[in-house]
Amino acid sequence: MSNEKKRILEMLSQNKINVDEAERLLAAIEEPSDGTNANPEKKMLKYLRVLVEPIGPDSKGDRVNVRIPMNLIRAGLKWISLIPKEARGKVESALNDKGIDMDFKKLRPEDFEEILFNLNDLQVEVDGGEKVRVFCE
Amino acid sequence: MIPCWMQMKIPKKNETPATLTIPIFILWILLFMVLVLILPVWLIASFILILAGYGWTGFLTLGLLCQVFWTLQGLEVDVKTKDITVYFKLI
Repeated sequence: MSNEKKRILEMLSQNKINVDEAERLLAAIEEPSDGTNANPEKKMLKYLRVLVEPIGPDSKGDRVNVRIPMNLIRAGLKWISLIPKEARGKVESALNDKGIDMDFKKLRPEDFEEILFNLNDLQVEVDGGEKVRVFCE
Repeated sequence: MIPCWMQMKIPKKNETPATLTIPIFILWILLFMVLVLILPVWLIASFILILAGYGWTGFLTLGLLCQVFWTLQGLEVDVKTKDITVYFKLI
């Protein structure tokens, strides 16, 4: 453990700072010194994979294997900026009616990439006996 | 890179599927020719959109469209269900 981390934890134990402040300080010292917080692994992500496989070796369920280039997703997300303001407002209000609070202005491709990266290896078992895996590679 | 080939699998009953490689770069050449033909109309429409207050939408659309085509390489879809079998890969 680094000296800075020890010091923050000591300050927390001595009640000089509260938990939120300690968390912020720890996050600040964990950021790289060059100002970029890009994870090197993230840059290597090339594809989003969606796999659907039947559970069990001799089951005859549906099989899906889709590989989507991350650059294609990034390019696709840029189309959001082309939605006219009027249409954007209508879509947002329609989503609000359904209880989904969405602001297209705040939606950035980097956020979407963050979600995909944090998915890591999402695995869902469907009732029909299929295993769904979503991950980046 | 823009994909140049598309690999497809055609399912056959009780046989291994036939693999077909289609040269889609021919399609890009045709699309490019169409694009050159419609470019003047596109430019005029883009200027009209700017005057109508829609900003650079027309010009941006063209750029983003090219970007989507450019990033298609590596796309692979392989679906096997009771009713359909689809396989294609852009190389």
